[in-house]
Amino acid sequence: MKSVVAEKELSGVLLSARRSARLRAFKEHIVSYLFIAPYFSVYLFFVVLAVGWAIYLSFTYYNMLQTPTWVGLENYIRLFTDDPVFLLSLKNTFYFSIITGPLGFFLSLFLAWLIDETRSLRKAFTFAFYIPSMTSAVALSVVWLYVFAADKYGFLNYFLAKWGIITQPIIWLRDTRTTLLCIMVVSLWMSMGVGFLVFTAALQGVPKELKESGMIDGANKLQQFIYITIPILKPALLFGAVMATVNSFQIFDLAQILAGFPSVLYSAHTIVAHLYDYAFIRFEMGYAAAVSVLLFLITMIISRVMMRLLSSRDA
Amino acid sequence: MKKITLYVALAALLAFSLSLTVGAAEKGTINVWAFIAEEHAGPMIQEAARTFTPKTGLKVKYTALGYTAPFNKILLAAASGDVPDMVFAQPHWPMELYSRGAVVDLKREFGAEYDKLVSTFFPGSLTAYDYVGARFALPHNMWTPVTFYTKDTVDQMGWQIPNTWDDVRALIPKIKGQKMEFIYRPGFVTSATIEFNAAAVFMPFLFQHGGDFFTQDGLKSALDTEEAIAAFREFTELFTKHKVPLEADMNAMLKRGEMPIMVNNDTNTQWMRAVLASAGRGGVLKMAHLPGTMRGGKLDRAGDLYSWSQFIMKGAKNKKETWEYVKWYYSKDANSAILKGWAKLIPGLTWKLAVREVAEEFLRSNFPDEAQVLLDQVSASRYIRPVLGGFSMPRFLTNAFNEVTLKGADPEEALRRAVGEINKEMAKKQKEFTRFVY
Repeated sequence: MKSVVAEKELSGVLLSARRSARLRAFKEHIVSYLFIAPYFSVYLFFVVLAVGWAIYLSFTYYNMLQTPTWVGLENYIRLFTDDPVFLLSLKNTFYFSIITGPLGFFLSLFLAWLIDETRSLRKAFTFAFYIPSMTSAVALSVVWLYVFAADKYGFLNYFLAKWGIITQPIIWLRDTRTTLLCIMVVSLWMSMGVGFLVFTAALQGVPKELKESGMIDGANKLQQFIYITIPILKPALLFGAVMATVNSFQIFDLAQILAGFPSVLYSAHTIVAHLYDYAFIRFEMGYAAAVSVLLFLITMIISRVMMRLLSSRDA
Repeated sequence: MKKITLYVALAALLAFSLSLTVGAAEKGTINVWAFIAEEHAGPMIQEAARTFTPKTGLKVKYTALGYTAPFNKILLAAASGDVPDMVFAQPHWPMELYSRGAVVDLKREFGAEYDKLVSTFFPGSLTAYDYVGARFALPHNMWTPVTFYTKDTVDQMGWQIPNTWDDVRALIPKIKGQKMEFIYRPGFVTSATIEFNAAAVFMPFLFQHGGDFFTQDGLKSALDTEEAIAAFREFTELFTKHKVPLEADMNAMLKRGEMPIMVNNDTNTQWMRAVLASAGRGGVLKMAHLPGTMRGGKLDRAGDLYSWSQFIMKGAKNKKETWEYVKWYYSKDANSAILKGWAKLIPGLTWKLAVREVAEEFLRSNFPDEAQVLLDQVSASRYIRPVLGGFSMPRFLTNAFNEVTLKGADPEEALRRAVGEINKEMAKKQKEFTRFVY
C-alpha cells in the first residue's frame, strides 16, 4: 500500500520535474522560437489552415455566394463515377508527368554533368540553361506562341512547308494530336531550373581525386559518371526528383496560355485545369476542393515513393 | 499597468480603422466598378461631373479595374457583401451573378420606367440579358461582324462584293487563284474560351437559317433542330470543303495584301486601317454588309451582337440613386457626350452604344459611308440568350467544330453529340439551382 502511494508520488514528482525541465528549455531557447515565429505563423495560416479548410470544403457544396452545406462524400463519389473529364485529366497529367518528370530530371543531370566537364564558358552555359526558368511562363509563351502559330507564317509551319515536309499548316496548339506534345517540349525547355543548379553545385563538390583514381583504373568518362559521381550525388538526386515530379503534376498556367482554356476537346486538360474549371467557371467550390485534396494525396504519395527509392541510407 | 495601456491602445486603433472603412459607403455616392482601362474611364467621369452631379446632387465614384481583370473580383465582392452599386463588365458575367441571387432584376424593380428606357434601344441588344422574362442587365457598346474589303484590289480584279453566302462560295476559288485568302473571323474558331469561341462566329449562320441555341424556356439546347444542323453543316463546310483558313495572322496578311475580302468584327476597323496604312502600298479598307441568306423571300443578314453589360448589384445600398444614374447615362445627351469623349480618345472608333438615336447620329456624322451598313447590321443581329449552364454551349460547340474540321467527323453526328453533352450540363445546373430558392 505504502509503496504504491510512494510510487505514485515519485512518478508525479518526476513528471512535474520533466515538465519544468521542458519549460526551462523553452524559456532558454525563446529567442530561437521568436525568430521562427513569423515564418511559422505564415505557414500555419497559409498552408496548414488552408489545407484544412480545403479538406472541409471538399465535403460541402459551396458556390461562394451562399454558405457551404454539408454533403458528405458526394463530391468524391461523383468525382470517380460521374466525371469522365476528370479521368481524362488524370490521364493527361500522368502522361505529362511520366514523360517530363524523369526526362526533365535526366536532362538536367546530363546537362549539368556536361557543363561540369567544360573548362571555358562554363558560367555562360550555366546562365544560358538557367534563364528560361527564371522568366515567367507568361513572358516566354509569347515566343513559343509564335513558334507554334497555326497560320502558314508561323515559325514551325513556315519552315516545314518550305522544306516540303507538310503541305497544309498544322494547328499545333489546337489539334488534339499535337497539343500535349508542344506543351511537353516547352515545359522541358523551362524545367532546367533549381534542380539544374543543385546538380551543378553538387557536381562541383565531387572530390577530384576520386575521379582521377577512377581514370587511373581505366574508367572512361561515362563510367566515371555512373559509378563514382552518381552515388555521391544521391541527396541532390532526391531533391531534384521530388521537385521535378511535384512540379510536373501542377502544370497549368503554361498549358492555359499555349492551348487555351479549356483546351480543345480537353486534350491539354490537367488536374489543375479541371480544378480551375469547376472552381471559377462553374463555381462549384466544394467539388474543386475535392479535386485539390486528391491532387494533394497523389503528390504526397509519389513524393514518399521517391524518397523511399532515392534516400541515401547507409547500408 | 503597462500591459493594460497597450491593450487599450490596440483596441482604440482597431476601432478607429474599422470606422474608417464603414464610413466609406455614404448615402448619396454611387459606386461604379468599370472593368475597363483607366484611360477609357475618362469620358464617363467627366460627363458625370459635368451634368449628373450638378443636376441631382449625387456623386459618382468610378473604379476602373482594367479589361482583363478576372471575374473573381466581383464574385468575391458579392460573397463578402461589400458590393459596388453598379458594375460595367463583360456580357456573360451578369447571368452568373443573377442566377445566384446577386443582381437586381431591373424589370421587376423598376417596372414602367425600365420599359420606357429600353424602348430607345436596338431590339436585338437585350436578348443577352433576358432570362425567362427577367431583365437583369443593360447593354452598352456593341459590335457586330461586317465584311471588309480593300477597294483597290477588288476593283482591280473586277470582283463583286458578296451578298449571300452562295456568292462567297463562288468567290473563294477566284480569290485563291490570285494566291490570296478569304478570311472568316480569324482567331475565333480554334479557341474554346468564353470570350473567343466558335459559337460566337457560328451565330450568323444559325440565325440566318432560323435556328437558335436554346429553347424558349431555356431548359434545353435547340441545336439539334433541322435548321441548326443545316447551319452547322454550312458553317463547317466553309473550312473543310472550301478551305477557308482556320487561323490567320491579320497583321502579316494585311501587310502583304493577301486579304482582299474578309468578315470580321467592326471593332477591329481602326487598327486594321492603321496596319494597312503602315504597309505603304495604299489600299483603303471599306465596309459592306455581312453576307446573308435568302429565307422566305427576304435576305436575312442576322449576325451576332456582342455588347458589354451594365448591371446593379443586389447588395447595393443606393438602388434608387443608381437607377437615376442609369436613366441619366442612357439619356440622349449624356450618352452622346460620352461617346464623343471616347471617339476623341480612340480615333476611328465605331462603337455603337445601345441607344438607337445616339448611335445613328454618331455614325452618320463620323462615318457617313459606313453608317448605314453598321446600323442595318446592328438592327438585324442579336446574341446568345442566357441560360443556366450556358457556359457549356460554346465549349462543346467548339469541340464539335474541331472534331469536324481537324478530325474529319460528320457535322451532324458531332453536333448531336455536343447537344447531348450540353443538355447534360444544363440539367446538372438546373438541379443544382433548385436546391436553393433565391
